[in-house]
Amino acid sequence: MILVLTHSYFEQGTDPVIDWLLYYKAPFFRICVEDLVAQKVNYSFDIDKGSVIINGVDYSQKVTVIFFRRFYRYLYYEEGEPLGDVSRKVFYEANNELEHFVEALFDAFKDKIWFPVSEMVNVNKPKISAAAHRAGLLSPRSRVINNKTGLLEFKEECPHGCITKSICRISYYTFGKYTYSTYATSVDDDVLAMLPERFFPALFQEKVMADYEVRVFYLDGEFFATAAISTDKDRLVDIKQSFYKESLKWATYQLPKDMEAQLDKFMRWIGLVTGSIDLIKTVDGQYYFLEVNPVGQYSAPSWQGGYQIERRIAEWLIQKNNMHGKEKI
Amino acid sequence: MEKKKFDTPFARKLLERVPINYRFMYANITEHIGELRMREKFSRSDKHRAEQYLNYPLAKPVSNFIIRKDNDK
Repeated sequence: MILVLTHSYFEQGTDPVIDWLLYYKAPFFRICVEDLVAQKVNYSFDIDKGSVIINGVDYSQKVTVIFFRRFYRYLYYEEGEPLGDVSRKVFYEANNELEHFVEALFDAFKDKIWFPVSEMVNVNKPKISAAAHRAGLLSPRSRVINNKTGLLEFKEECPHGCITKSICRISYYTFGKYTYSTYATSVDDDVLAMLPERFFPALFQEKVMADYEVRVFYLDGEFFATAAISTDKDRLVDIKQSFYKESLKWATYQLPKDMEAQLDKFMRWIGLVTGSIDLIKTVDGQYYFLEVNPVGQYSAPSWQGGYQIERRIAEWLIQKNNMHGKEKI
Repeated sequence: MEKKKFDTPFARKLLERVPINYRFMYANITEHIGELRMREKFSRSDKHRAEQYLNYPLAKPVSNFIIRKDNDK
């Protein structure tokens, strides 16, 4: 049986894969993180045996494959008037309780086949960047710096300057009509003028002169690549800012076989069976690895490239279930 | 051309103590941000066990049809 772990809000990658599981009549069930606290179903987790009993049925024996799709999110428990610092404390403590429970559950299910493994879902950008470098992939020079002098020195070392982006992730901040967000930002005079001599440690990366960007969905040795080609001569540093521009064109793309082999080796080395990989093809023909997101969105490249990635994922889950599970289709 | 005018909703005092990226934010009209799905209406689907099911395709597996030229006739 295939277990789908996700959350109850709209998640664009989940339902299209379930469409295909339904089409193939694959045995699956879905648990959203909210289900754990919804108090609608009886369940228990035997910590010693590692079994999970839901409505009297032991699912720990039934589950073979886990489609792990953005399961964890912070839950809000408070209703009515907020209590300031007190509610903030309750919020963190309640989420910590749940997080520890979930971690123990994942540990009990560690022998199942995960897509992808839960420990790798929140990849650490600096760690992945270092791993890519060690694996021999070309990647932009990266530094975490907390002072302007050090930043200026680093910028001098980079022939085309540098950019800054968050070390982890900065999300959307919505205030009614307007929503604020961040992108990779070129470190130019405007940016430098806004920085004090010392600041919160920030990630800086060498700017690479891109001919175009290549977005790759990786699935256990298979590559589904799409090139994002900008016809705008003043292209933006962060491609996300150009997604809705007419000047950005998408094309299906074949990576060179040696590049695929290198990326495949890297993904296996870091323990990822899947991921959305961002590459830059430079004007002098080299491929730079930027980052990998183990739970990246695949709807757009699937659609643009005609790859039917959702179907491929469903087929992968079914194949693993049939190879290792008791309930086959 | 790259927008140079950053816009942050946060106070200067806070910005001095948090990651620098909060200084370099862009303001966009909330409804125009596709990822926030503000304009979309959701349904539910028991088959998918989904409380927020999108009724139109983003990238649904809608076809395996091969359209040939003679189909147009």
